[in-house]
Amino acid sequence: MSLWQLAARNLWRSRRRYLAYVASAATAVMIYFLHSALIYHPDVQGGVPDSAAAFVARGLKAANVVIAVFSFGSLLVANAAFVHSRVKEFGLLSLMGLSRTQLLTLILVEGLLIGGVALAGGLAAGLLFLRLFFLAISALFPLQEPIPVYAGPRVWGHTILVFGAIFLVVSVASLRAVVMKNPVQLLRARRQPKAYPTFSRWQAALGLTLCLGGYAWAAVPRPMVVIVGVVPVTVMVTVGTYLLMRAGLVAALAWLRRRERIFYRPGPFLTVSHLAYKIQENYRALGTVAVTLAVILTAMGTGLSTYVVFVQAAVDNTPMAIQLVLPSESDAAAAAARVEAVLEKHGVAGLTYRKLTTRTGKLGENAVTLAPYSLYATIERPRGETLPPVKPGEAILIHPYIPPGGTRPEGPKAAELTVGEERIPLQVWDDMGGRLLNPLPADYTLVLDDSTFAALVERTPAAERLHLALWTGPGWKGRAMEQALKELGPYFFRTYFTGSGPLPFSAKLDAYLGAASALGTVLFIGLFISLVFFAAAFSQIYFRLFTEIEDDRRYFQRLGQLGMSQKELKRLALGQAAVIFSVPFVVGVVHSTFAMQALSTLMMRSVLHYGWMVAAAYLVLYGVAFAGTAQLYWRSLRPGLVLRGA
Amino acid sequence: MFVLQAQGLTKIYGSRGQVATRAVDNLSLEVERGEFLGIMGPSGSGKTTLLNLLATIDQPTAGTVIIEGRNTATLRNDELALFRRRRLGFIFQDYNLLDSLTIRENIALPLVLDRRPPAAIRARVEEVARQLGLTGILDKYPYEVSGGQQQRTAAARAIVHEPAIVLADEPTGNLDSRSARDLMEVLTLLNQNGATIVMVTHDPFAASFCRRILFIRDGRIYSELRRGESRPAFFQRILDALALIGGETDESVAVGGA
Repeated sequence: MSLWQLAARNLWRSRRRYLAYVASAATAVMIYFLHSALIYHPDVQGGVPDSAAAFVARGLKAANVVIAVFSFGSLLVANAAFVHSRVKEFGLLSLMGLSRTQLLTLILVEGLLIGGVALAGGLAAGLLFLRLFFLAISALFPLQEPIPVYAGPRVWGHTILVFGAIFLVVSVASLRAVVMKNPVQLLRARRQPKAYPTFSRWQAALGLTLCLGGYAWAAVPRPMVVIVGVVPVTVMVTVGTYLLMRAGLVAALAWLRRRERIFYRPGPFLTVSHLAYKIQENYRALGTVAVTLAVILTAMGTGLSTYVVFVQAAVDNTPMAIQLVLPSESDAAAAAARVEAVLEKHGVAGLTYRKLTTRTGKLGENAVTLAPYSLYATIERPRGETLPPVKPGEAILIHPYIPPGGTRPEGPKAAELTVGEERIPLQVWDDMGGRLLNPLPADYTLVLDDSTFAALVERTPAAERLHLALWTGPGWKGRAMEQALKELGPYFFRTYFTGSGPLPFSAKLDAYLGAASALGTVLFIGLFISLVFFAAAFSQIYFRLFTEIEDDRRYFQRLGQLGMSQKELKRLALGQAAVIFSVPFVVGVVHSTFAMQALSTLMMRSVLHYGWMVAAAYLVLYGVAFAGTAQLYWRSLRPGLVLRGA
Repeated sequence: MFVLQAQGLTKIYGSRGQVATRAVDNLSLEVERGEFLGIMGPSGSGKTTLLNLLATIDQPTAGTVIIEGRNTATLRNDELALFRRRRLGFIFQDYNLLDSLTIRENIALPLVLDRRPPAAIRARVEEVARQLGLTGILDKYPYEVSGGQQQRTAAARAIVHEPAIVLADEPTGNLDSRSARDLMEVLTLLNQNGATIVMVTHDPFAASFCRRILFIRDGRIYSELRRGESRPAFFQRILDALALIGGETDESVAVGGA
């Protein structure tokens, strides 16, 4: 038998143990491959540099660096753990006459075989999902036309080169565990009986203090405190997590063990003691997985919150479905007619057209657009109530931003409105219920009573008057509107853009799509990276579970001999596995909850529920992965447990 | 009153087309309440297979095992597990203690599995520990105590739930002679307190503590010895019987007699 055959046989024998590792490595390869397919796409490489596709590709490029570095690190750790778990087996082989060179070759070949399988699997999966990936890109981002599916030689070459190098280095690095030891040392490696983990009170206390301290810091409701705390809190909670996963868990289990009423029942009795016994070898993996999950949940929660909040802000900031601002009355009439014609052509319904002739002025420091109360009273705004009518000498100042919680201002303040040479003293009420008009021509809008407004506009010279055409209503969204805007946008660009200054044309749907695609890109890329992290995290606990399966089998076998039925053993084994898998998930969710609390402080509104939504989505994913793992685990465990065979 | 009756037990290993091995061949035996029965025989005589059949861990090809008047063949798998847990006690050659439990918890295990109230468990465990001289090490873990102490713990676990019968498979096999003597004295004590014990061994010294010994060869009962006189004399008769059985002599004969 050649070394290659021996290596292949070794791997096949422990295929269940390596399954999650290969799957997580393959996930990384697949996503790297998909990203590369867009990065090296001819349309992106030779296309418009500022196109949406190029924007996405730039993000993916950064994502690929993250994926490559993370995969390298996590595969290095995982592979070292593989070799370590089999040191005794290697010792036996060298005792049986395998030379050192042969042994090292064997380990190297095994590593490369695993890497090769992961690479091949990842590329195959990538090819399978390629069409879906490009469909998603085309659907999510407003590209001029759908981007064709592509996977050229550069995509393949790049992926194979990067991951080939990673697998090679990782395999070579794993030789360290064996290279400096003689057979006897190798054989002895795992012989010592496991000691029951003792725990130090101060370590448990320190871990708890660090985590609670970090939580408290993150929960301080002052943005500056939160910003200063980002790095120290992350370090505190990370260190605290590892301490808690060992000393804290041991302490908690020891406490449970002293509670006779809880402990002296079959399930708790066996589970609590067995978990405590297993912590020593597992706490690192549990800590790493908890921290990784916290990072994933926080990152995705932040991405989702940012997406929702900023897209909402973009929509709120552009209340008019379409708004035209033109200096000449005839231009305005022609433009409005044009818009109406195009809207009709594309079948856009549900919009109301209004005309407004107005001017701008200054209220204190702020530029304001003037508006009559009658307009203010008839236009529905994002939030807030319409204030009661104003008398001459009074005005309502509409602020451009909506403060979270919607503060209700008290009585009017005295202010002076400057229009041209005229200065008008006013009693001004504040309205923070969201914009009345799109940002141009001014960020603030000042609402005057109708007669004062009419007189002011009347006194304004024709050159300073502005003619606004406004469309409002529920028809701002939808396919038809999108088509209409595709025609109107370039038309107004050609017709009225003078080379400088703002465009006279703005539309709510444009603002919405712009924000959604920019932030959607971030979310989209984040999702892919998080999947790589997630697979790596899951495979770590999976590997721990299957590494200890021999010990576990002996354990359950003994219980079977003492008279536990197979049904009871299955429930016990899967229950213990479920606890091991859920501990890091729960810790990760708690960590990320406090991170989302800190984010709420920064965003000045509660985003906790977005964190819960993300956590729920990952819980489903985690649950499905666990269900599969549990089945596999029981099927691997069972053969030694069948007591009554005919 | 018989606690255990085995009738026509046969166990055949190997399937059609291959050479079948009759590990146990039409063997019948009875154990009375309060008995201390030894089963001896050369390696491969079928004594461990017989014990596994009696323990309901293995299924006979033919024949029945009746414990406390109940035919174990009529029990479903989970009923059998429950029966094994409640009515049988086991002592294994390699102790079979759970490394994750303290000595106290290992002894308590059968009671916990049977959902007895915690206070009753505590009292019973301490009572048994006192009997077996384990009181001082109750809160230690198995790896922290000697092999002899581990096996005494296993003995305590085997009798803590007051089973109908204790089955011991080479209980002195992993012990030095001093610990072996200690353990056998403990088993004798338990027997005097009312436990029914069936012990498989090939160690004549351990066997000399039994009240009755069945010698097995090729899956059948070859002869039977009852202890009447003193233990050393009984030991001598066991050696004679073993010499008569022939086959191979075990290395443990020399060790055990020392």
